[in-house]
Amino acid sequence: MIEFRNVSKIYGNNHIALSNISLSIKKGEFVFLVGPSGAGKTTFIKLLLKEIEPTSGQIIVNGVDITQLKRRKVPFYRRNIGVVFQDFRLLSDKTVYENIAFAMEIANASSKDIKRKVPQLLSLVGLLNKEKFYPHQLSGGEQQRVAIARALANNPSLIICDEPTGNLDPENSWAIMELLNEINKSGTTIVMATHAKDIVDAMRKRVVALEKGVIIRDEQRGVYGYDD
Amino acid sequence: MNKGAYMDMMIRRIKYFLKEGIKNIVRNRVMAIASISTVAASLFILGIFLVLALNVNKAAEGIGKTLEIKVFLKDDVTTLKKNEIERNIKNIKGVSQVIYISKEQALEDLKKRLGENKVIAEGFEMDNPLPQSFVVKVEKPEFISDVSKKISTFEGIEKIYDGKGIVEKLIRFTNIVRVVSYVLMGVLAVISSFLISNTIKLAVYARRREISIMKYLGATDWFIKWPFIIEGVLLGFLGSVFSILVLYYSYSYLVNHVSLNLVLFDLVSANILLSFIYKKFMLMGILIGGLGSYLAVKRYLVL
Ligand SMILES: Nc1ncnc2c1ncn2[C@@H]1O[C@H](COP(=O)(O)OP(=O)(O)O)[C@@H](O)[C@H]1O
Ligand SMILES: [Mg+2]
Repeated sequence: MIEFRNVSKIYGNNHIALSNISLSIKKGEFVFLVGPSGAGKTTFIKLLLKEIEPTSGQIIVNGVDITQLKRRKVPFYRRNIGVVFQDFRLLSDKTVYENIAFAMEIANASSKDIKRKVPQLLSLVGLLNKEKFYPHQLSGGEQQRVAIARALANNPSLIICDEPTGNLDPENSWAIMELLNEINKSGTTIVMATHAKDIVDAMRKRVVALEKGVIIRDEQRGVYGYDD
Repeated sequence: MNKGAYMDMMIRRIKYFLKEGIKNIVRNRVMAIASISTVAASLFILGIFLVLALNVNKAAEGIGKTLEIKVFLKDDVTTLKKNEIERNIKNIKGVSQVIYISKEQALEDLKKRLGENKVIAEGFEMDNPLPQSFVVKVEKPEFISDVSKKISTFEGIEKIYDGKGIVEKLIRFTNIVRVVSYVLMGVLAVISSFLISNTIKLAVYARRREISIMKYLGATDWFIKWPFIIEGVLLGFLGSVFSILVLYYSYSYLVNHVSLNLVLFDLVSANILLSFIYKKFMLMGILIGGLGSYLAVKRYLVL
């Protein structure tokens, strides 16, 4: 479902963030993108979200080369992808319920669908009792669970996470990983950038290791493999 | 999506855009008040000029109704010639009525005006020195000078009185007032638009985090832009409502307390002023605000 073909990204200051990356991810896979800080993980994710354009190469998602995608069509492409960030990125003036409903609103969902779907998602992430809370009234782990519920709101076929446990304690991190694993089991592809060694080592999923913009390792049921 | 669901979505959209627009205004009160005030100030100034123009127009119409052109004929004009002149005057565009005053009628009128002193006119019966004349009325005051110019080219005319151009002067004055008010209004509208555009710029800046999140969630450009456009339109609209209220109440006060002492002519009533301006002002407020937010969104909302 995702294919990077000889993708390079050179930033304006001539910094080579990704160098001739080729990678293929199948539907339903769970892929860890690992590597030290500055390896190019976030750049990879931004390319996938079409937030930035590659300097060269093609990125094919669900059969479409997104580097050729018209600007007008980008929002519709993004509605098919759920994103989860290290800093949660919830809307602070909206409640938990409203944050999730808003993602569906943006994607033109009917109010009937919204009323049906939001409680389902809240129950999946275990926050049914906190639907009226504002983000600042929640713990980091709870905020991240709201972000995951929001990412799932429009039934995406792909979820992209950039260091989703980076701001969480181990307990909350594991809760998030269990949730992501559940979501993956129901068929959603997950790409997760992280440098949480213990998580990667314990999950035994596919590991793609980046270093200085190059893929140095790609193994099924892999481990983190660094000591940083 | 069926039609019902689509309507439902559109209504929710509009509600959402309005709510966000209002939220932005409340969040950025100081700039919002400044924007509303400049819109109100520029429309208020336009309003003052409109009040002037409306009243001068009314005065001109009032004077115009009593004003008429007096056309005195030469002594040697025969009845035949007189009838021809009358026909010709009636044919001039804009002439509504032509009244003939014979020498005898003129003497009667003079005697009436002299009253007790009518002895002065005695002896005039024998050899009446008063000329025969026409009183010419026109449809609109601004026709007077044209009509009188045309009459002056006819043969057999001794003299023409056309009110010495009072109406013309009044009309010229109204025209100047109109031009000045439009220019001033234009300048102030541009200033208001810029201020609103600046307010929207600050709103965009304050919302940049939300904007970036919305983009990740797949919001279209217009979904992000609308609340800002609406914010500007609301600011302009509120400014116009404010100016209408201030203008209406201050002018009502003026009419009720000042015109009693000013017996020159009746001022246009405050309600007539209100009905004349309110739609125009609201439309202008909306246009000023819409222009301001359009400029800001175009320049500062980089999506
Ligand atoms: N906008 C940018 N302009 C210039 N250099 C950048 C930019 N973003 C990232 N980089 C550089 O590209 C490299 C890869 O960054 P990034 O993809 O964020 O790495 P990671 O997420 O693995 O820590 C880093 O050396 C970083 O400094
Ligand atoms: Mg990163």
